[in-house]
Amino acid sequence: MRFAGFRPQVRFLLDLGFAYIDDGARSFRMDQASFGELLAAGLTEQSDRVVQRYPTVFQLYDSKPEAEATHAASRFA
Amino acid sequence: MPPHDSPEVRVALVATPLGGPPSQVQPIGSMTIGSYVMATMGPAARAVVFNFSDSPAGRRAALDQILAFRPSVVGFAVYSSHVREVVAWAGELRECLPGATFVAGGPHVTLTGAGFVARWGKIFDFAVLGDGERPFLAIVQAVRSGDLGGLRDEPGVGWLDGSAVRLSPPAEPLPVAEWADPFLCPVQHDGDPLIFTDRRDRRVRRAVALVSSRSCPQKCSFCAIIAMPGAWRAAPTANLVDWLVRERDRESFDHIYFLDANFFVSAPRVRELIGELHNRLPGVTWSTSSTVGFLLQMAGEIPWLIDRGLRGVEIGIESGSAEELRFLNKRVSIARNHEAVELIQRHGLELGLDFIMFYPDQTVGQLRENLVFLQRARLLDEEFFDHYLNTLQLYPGTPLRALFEDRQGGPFDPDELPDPEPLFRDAAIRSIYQVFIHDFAGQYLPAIRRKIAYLQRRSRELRSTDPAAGQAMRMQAILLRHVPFKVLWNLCDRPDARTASEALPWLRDFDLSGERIAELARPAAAVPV
Repeated sequence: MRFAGFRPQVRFLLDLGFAYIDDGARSFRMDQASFGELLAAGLTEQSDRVVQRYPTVFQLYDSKPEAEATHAASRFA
Repeated sequence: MPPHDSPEVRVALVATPLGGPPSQVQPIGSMTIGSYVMATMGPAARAVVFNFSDSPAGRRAALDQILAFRPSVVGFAVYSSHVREVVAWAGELRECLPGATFVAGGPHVTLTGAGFVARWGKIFDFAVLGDGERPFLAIVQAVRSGDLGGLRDEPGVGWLDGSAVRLSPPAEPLPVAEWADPFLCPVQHDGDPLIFTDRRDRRVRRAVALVSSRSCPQKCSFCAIIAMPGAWRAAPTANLVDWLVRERDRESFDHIYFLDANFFVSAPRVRELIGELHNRLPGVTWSTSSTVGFLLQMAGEIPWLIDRGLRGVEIGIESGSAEELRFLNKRVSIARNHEAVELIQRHGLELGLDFIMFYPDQTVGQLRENLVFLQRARLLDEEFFDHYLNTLQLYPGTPLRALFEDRQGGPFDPDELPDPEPLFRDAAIRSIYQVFIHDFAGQYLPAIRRKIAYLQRRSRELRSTDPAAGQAMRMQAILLRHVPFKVLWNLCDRPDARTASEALPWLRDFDLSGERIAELARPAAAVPV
């Protein structure tokens, strides 16, 4: 099983209840709660679906710690 | 006055700055009046609209342009936000044009009627009340014939007779079949051309503006439109489309602003108009204004309208407080307001947000309800900040102005929109307003606006050469856009704050370097909503 983490060029910020995700070309917004659920889903057997749905944001990593590490690394500021 | 000896009467219709920050305002009323005069009198009259609403020229330079036209009749559109500005322009012009006839019309003249004539009848020879086409035409024809006496019998005209105010009987609304093509009258304008930024099609469109209907069937207690004579009425579809087709032949455009008070009042009319418009002007897009209920009645047809050019809707949300919506007689619920915003967002349309952040009887809880509405409706990232700054305006002739005049035991200055500050009942709201409007909006917001514009432009420029830097700038712009919300939210928690930086310490040592902006992303600086 592989795990979904952010692509290297992705940055996100959390503000006022929303997550703003920037894939390097553009930004988009989603509820912070939904964003948390998405990150969590990427660390389960649903990881493929997460990547398929947001292919410019996520990619698959071989280990869970590796994928999780991208969560902190991609946070803006 | 002797009969006019030139082959034509020259009519200058002047749109002066509207008060407040410079803004591009289309002089639709003046265009309509001038066009009606030209359509009726043909070569006997030459009308020009001088639009200085957003002109970079000072008043003197603007007046020189009008003087060069040598008008015999000078008309001014008067709004309640700039009465003394118009009077000053007219006074200066009158000294230079002693033989010309000066006319005032527009909403403020209609709303204040006899009082306006009493106060300003020495500056303006005539006031025009209600639909201005016929009364103004009668004035131009009287100037041409040299017999102004006949105007006493013309409905919708006011004048000063010595010190006595004279008003003829009220004019009936002009039948819609008689509305003139508003593009007949040329507009002299040295500001920026009218454009529409179409994010859906990723292009900037050259635009025209007109109204397809007048008045509104709603009865919102703050709205000056309900104090005007005449029920909601709309131009015939065939006429409207003919006007636009002819204008496009004269000067190409590819977007139409329908500046109606409430465009979607009649769904069958909208279907007919937009269907015909699409047939005759394919590829032309349009945007308009609506109240929530009339927009939602067409919710199922939004995709059809988008296919036929709909790109944006300005909606009168006004408040996030149910109590305030009742006070404003909006006849809409918070849930319906959310539904309307969500409808526009779901379809990727541009959203124009009419929202009154501050009002006299507000409590801190209700101010917070406004902010919660903006947050839940995902309206934190709007391009403009007006909705954070708007205060309830008490227009002449409205039920709310009468209510507050009763409360203070006397009338407000009839030619001013009252200063809201003394009207706040809750000292905490007054304090929040002072800090937010005077300190934050005065001292910090202009620089924040400029910085956001810079970041957006620069991030586009860096897209291919330095995408990471462009990305950081997009993030910084998002954070800066949230600053007004955070200041206002924190002021609700700390209404005793004397400065904006007490409410949002980030504003201390204010600088807009990237590092400082990024500090706004730290959880400690976020507002827990």
